[in-house]
Amino acid sequence: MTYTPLLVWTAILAPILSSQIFGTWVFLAPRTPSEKVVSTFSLIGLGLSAISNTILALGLSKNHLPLDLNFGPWLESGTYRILLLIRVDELSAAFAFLAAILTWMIAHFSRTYLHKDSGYIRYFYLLGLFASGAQLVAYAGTLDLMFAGWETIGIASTLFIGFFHERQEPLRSSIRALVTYRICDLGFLLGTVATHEWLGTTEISALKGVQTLPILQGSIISALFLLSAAGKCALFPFSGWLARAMEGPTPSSALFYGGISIHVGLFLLLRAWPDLDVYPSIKILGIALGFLTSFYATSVANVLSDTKGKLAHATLAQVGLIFAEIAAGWTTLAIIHLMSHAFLRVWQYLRAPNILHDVHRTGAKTNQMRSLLREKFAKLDLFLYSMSLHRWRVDEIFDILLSPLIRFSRWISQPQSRIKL
Amino acid sequence: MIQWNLASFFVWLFSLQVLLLDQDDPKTNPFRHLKTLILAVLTLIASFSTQIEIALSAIGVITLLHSLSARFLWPAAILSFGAAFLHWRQFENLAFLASYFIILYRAGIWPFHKNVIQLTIRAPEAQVRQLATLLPLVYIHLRYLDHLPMATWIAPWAILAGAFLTFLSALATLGAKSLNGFFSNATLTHAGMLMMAVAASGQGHHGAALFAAITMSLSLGGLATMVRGVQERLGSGPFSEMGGIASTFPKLTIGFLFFGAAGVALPGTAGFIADDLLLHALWSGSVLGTILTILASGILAIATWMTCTKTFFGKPRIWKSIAIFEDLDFRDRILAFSIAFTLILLGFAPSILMGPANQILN
Repeated sequence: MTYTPLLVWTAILAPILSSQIFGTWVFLAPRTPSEKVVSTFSLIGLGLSAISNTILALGLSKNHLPLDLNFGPWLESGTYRILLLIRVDELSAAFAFLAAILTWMIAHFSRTYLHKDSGYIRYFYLLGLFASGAQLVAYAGTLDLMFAGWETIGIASTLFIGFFHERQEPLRSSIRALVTYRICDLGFLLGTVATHEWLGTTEISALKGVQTLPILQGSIISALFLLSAAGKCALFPFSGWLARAMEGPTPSSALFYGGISIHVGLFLLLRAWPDLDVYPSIKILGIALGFLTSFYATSVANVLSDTKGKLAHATLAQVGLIFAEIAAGWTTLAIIHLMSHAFLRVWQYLRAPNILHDVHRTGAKTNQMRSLLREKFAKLDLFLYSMSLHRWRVDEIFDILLSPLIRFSRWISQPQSRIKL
Repeated sequence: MIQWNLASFFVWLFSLQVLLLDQDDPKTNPFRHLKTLILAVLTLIASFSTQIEIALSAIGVITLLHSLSARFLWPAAILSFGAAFLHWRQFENLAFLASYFIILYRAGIWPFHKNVIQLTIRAPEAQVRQLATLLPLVYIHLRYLDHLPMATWIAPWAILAGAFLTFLSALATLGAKSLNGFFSNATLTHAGMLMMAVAASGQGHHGAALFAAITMSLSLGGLATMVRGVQERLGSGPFSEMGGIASTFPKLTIGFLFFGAAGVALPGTAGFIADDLLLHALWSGSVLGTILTILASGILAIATWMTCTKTFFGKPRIWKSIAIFEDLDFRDRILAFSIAFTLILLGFAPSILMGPANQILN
């Protein structure tokens, strides 16, 4: 299509530009815009993105895919250059379409859900930021561009978790999420730099060259991207932040932890895994991580009593399975699983506030088979129950691992507080 | 010959510097405009002079002017004249070392960090001024002095040392107990990054080094404006006396978040490009240095968010009667917007600076 570049850039930039317009207004003007103005601007931006993606998805001809749109070097320094490269293929079109449609629907839903909330403008601004980040991840043709989108999603996620900033708990949860994100970003950044140094470029298509690298270098690149995806997907042992992430507004939880953000790590794997899938050890690690997460999440979801926490872990169980599917090389199944899972979970999250009403209407059901098994394996059941109730103590282990660093940071900053002025 | 596209960028940067430099209270300093004008003219001379001795001497005079409010700067001023003299007598290696030393000294690299910490706590605006006028020195250093074999020789060592210092300073931001403590340690973290960027330019990454220096100056300049804003309204107490002011001062909060995030590689801003360039430039010097820098950037991002949650968020502090204060005034908003605009412009179109910078510096 002749208009493909225009459509792709509209899909990526329209949400953030619309947010930027009312964001600048808020910052410079003495009076803040009304809810209607904010939501209209936001819906126009998100709507343009959704329309562009729909036209793109419908107009794409399979014969011309994948389509690499090269807009020349974005920047050059010495031997290093980042290309402004956009990659349009079935995977990017599908994921971008999913992200754009879900974000627009959530924005539409949130107009009334967040009516009169003090953070109304902030909410829609962050939604625009997130939407552009998700589109950039989907269409990026280089690892640097993808990381820009990746980090934008992480920042938006952190700010949404700490959305209700008058309370301490959401703030603490947002810090925990950010710590996990940054640990896993280490994998992405190092992987990108290593790819450039060892393969000579950061184009995603160049990852095919991993097969030609010595086994150590190839394994390092694969493991780094695996680590990065694991953190973004909240895979075990990085799962602690997910339950806490439910502190944000319900529509944003639905979009992030039911729909898009939780699946972004899977998208990275779908993009890169076919090229990185050359070392059996890394493959086994990926499958094991997926299944372990699925087991962990199922056990925790069974004992939790809050709806959003249950849903978060149910989501995680499926994400673990999709992760294992990708690692095993069943990418087509994984894409179908991912898409259908995202739509289902968004709907379930949005229905979560109505759960009491639903239970009263339909009545709670008990599982007799499960009760029989519990009697037979009482000790094991008790152990599993108590571990699951404490979420397998992943948070505590995380805290213990980080505590020397925190203590050291306090110690190192002490002499500075004694400096005389 | 003057490269006009670079010149136009420098004029824009120069106007921003004027905004950054002109931060004194008119009541306490009635000659502030004159002082700013003199500093600005000297900055222009330093940036556009094709004679390195004249450029370094102009830097010396600028530093001497700064030393009136920050006494620790007078050795740097004398050393600037010394570097000019050494270059004139064709001791180029010594001139290179002197110039690099001045950059490290003024940026606040250990063991000179105490001076910068004192200045950032006592007068953040003075620190912003001296950082703003550090840019021409970095430019001169990269343009005239950083092409010597010695620059290539010391690069890996300086990168490794800079990476350790960056990492330690970033850790210190995590343990900071006040907004001042955070800001001074964030300044030192960026100083470490500047040390590495300038060192890496010895291996051919001149444009990257200039980009990193400009980003550092802009993001720290914006952050200092916000820190000063908080101090004027709440004083400079520990975190335990802060919090809950986001609803009263939303613009101050937005500004702090934006500039804090721009300093730690917020996508869409120059900070992201600077970090990306820096990491790629560092790899050839030291892989360990690259890993430490990524960790430091991550830690600084976490510390920035933690500082924000402790300073601006939490339960509203009604007992402070903060409602009598206004949010950011119009002048500060314009200043913050101009810096933010430049950061975003460079974030989306870095080649407007990188292209001419590479042409001239390489």
